[in-house]
Amino acid sequence: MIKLQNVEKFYEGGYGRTYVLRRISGEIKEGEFVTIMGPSGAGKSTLLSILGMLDGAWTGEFEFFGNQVHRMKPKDRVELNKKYIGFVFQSYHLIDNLTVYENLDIPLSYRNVKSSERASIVCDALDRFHIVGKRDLFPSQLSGGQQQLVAVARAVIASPKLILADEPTGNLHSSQGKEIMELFKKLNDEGTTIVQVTHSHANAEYGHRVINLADGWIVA
Amino acid sequence: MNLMGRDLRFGLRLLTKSPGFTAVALATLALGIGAATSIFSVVDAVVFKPLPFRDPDRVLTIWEKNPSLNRFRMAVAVGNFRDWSQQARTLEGIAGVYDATVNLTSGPNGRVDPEELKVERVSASLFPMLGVQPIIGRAFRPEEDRPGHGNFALLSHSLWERKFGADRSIAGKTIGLRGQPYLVVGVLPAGFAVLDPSVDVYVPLALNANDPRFAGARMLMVTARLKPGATLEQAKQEMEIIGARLELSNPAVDRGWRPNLFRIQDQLSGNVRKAMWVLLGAVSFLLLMACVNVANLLLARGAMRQKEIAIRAALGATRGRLIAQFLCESVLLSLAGGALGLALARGSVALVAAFGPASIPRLTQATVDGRLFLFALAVSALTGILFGIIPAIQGSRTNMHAALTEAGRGGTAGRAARRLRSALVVAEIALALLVLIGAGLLLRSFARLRRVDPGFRSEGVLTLRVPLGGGRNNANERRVAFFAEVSDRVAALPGVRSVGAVSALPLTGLGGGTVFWIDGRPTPPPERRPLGLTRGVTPGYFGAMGIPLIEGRFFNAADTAASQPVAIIDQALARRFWPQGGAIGGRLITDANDNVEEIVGVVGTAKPDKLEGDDWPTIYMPYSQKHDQTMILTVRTAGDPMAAASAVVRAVHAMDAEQPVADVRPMDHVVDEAVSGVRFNAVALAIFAAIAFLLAAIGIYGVISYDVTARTNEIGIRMALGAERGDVIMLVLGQGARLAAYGIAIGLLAAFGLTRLMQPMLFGVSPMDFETYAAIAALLGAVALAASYLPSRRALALDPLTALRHE
Repeated sequence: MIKLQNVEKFYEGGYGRTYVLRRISGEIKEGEFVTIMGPSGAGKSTLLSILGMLDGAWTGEFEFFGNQVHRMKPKDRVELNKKYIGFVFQSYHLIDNLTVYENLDIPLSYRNVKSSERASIVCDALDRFHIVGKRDLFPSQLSGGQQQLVAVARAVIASPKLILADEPTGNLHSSQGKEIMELFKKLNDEGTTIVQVTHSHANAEYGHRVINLADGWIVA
Repeated sequence: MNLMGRDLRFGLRLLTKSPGFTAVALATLALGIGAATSIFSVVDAVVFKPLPFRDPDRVLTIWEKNPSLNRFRMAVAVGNFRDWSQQARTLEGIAGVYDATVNLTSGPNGRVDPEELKVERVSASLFPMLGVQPIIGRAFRPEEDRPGHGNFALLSHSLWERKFGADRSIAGKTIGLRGQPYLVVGVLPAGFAVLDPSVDVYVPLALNANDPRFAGARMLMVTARLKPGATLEQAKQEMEIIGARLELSNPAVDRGWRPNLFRIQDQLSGNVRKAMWVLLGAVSFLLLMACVNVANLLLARGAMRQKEIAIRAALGATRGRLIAQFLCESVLLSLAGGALGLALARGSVALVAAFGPASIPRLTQATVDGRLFLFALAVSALTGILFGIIPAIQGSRTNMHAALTEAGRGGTAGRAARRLRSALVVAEIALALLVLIGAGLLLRSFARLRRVDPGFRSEGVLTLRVPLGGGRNNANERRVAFFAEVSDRVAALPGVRSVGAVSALPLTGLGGGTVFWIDGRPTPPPERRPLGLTRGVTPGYFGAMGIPLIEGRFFNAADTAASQPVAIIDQALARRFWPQGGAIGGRLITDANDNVEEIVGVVGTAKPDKLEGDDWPTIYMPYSQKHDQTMILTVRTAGDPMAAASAVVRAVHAMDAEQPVADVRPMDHVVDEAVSGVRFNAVALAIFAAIAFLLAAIGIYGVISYDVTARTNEIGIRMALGAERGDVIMLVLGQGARLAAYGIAIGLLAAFGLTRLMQPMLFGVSPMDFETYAAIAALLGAVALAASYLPSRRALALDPLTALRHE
């Protein structure tokens, strides 16, 4: 599914280049649950953003579902993102002025799904994640765990083949975090590939394998 | 459509959820669009709207000029009007117009409430020349425009509606003017006027131009049309040649005089054109400031929505989708602001049309022009749209990952946006300074004008026009007795201190005049004889008006028609011809009656026309010796002059119930009206200045306030490192002061260049008046500091720990 070859990211500074990622190479197969771990500043979130097509300033080769991402235009990368990827952010990043229903509806509207179909899909998602009663509430009216739940629902609502989760439980209590990880496990069991960034070893145990980063390098 | 509907709903929700931003943005748009549309509409009506004539740009007014006498728009001598009509080849349809007043003494059905009407006596060629058709009946025929055959009347639309009930069968009926029957031949269209929109009725000129008594009388306003193919320059050249020819053939009348041609549009709006352009400039600045404010508000809000934009992009929104969403929001805001602006414009234009000064021509015809509203709306909407979608464009280009992780921390993109907003605020302050300086100069002018001594004391004086023409007291032998008796009756009323009458009030126009020379001195040739104003007055006039006696005596009961002709002159005349004094006993020879008047008194000079105008030498004659048919009673009262008004009118009607009485008003109103044009300009610009002031304050506050929010983290670090209250305040105030300093400097430079355009509008004040500039600069600086102070208080209230965690 994903093939990386010598992917690197750096910033040009006053005293030369500052590398965030160095010669990242590897593969992630479809259906895998991969955890990326490492100390702060290792480049974990950066790598995740590159995988999610959110960051276009890198070098190297990146193949995704047979598409040579490194050769694609930004507009085409966005299309690839829309087709295959769902992203869960540490800070939830729900849109404050939209209700829960509308936050779930947004990704579908950006994928030109017909409004009648969207309504059906959103209602299914609300039902699936047991948040029907929250549909008309705004994010500020939800707890952290509920917000992250909505964020996860939003990430999966378009049925992506790949979910990227950046510290999905970082701002949650342990019990809420366990709930989210159980959800990820279930999605993975259903066939969704998951790549998560986490500091938590407990969360890492939900995955099949761990990629360790340090100072921008894969160390293990 | 579904997506647009959703975007509109979301936009509306955002606007309602941020009432402060929405209120400020809408108010800014409404003020900018409303003010701009109002003034655009007024200027359009006054300056640009074509007159209701056929090919109005080919219609001219022709005056006479004599540069050696400093006269450039003198009425035309009757003989010259005749000669021009016969000799000019570049003009067609030359028509003469003569203003007068006349009493309406009877209506088509007999008795009618007596009323003094404004009448224009016009050549029969006038209406065909202008291409104007009456809506009822017909215009005058050439045979009706002959002396002794001119008892025909064309009614103005307003008189027809007001006095004759819009009777569609009025043509062919007879009305009484000045006791004489006049056949109504037609009714003119609504809004028709040659130069004066207040004319009630038109009658044939019916002048005998060959009558030597009138040939040299400069009394006509002349209009003409350029012949097809002729240009104004060609007409001017031809008329110059004709004028030179007439000077040779009739030097007694025409030495030094030449025709002076103007397009009629320029004649109408020439006096106020410059003022209109200044107002237009000021309101354009205001619209620009409103756009700048809206731009700043949208940029600031857009910067705060970078995170939302990044999320939407991360969720799959394309740039086009984001732009479409923000476009919807901006259009919503612009349309709402535009609707409010339109309401404001309608109200403002209606107020101005109803209460604006009469000295501004065609002001009453001002209405909100749809094109101009759309222009102002388009400018504001484009601004809103442009600055509303900039954040969407910027956000869609930004590295999403960076935006999501650095949202709220400013970053490089944030700094660039802050610089743009600061630049906009500096521009706004500069514009505000310009408008404020303009208003300040005009207000000082107006204040100086009001301090000009008009030469009389207006407080407590009631005035009322009593036109005898056509009534039973109009006979020469009756007039003097009538006004003497009226004066006695009014003087006996409680609260009345003194009563007088005059043929023309000060500050209402030059009125009648005559050439004169001094008996016993070399007789100047006719073309060099000085012009003086003439006024018939009753003995009590000077006392009633508070015009001081400088030398000699006032008129008294001994000055009768049978006694030695006497005159009182004003100081302007006395100083000019008796600079060392000794005017008393001097003798004037006036062209009017070839009599010799002995000067028995010198009084203070009263301004005849404008407060800012020149003094004119004035010759007062006792009413017993110069009895005009229309006089204005001047009644000095103990208290509010209008409180005595009805009693005074009853006193007149007690002598003759059919006697019209018009223009009953305090003399203070006459003075007010004389300065109404200047006051209008000053008030209009002052209103703009107040709006500009407000917009500048909002702009500065908005930028500084946003900056404090954006720098919360930085402020927390500074406080954690030991910054004290004063340091934080100086940090915030310093930024506001810097913006203000740049804006004021640029504004002052611009003001030095632009305010000279206002020179014709100013009185007693230089366009570079230091006090005005300094005061306005200081005021704006103080406002900038005050607007920065509130956010600085907010910065002080921050908890350092919270600020450090802020993102």
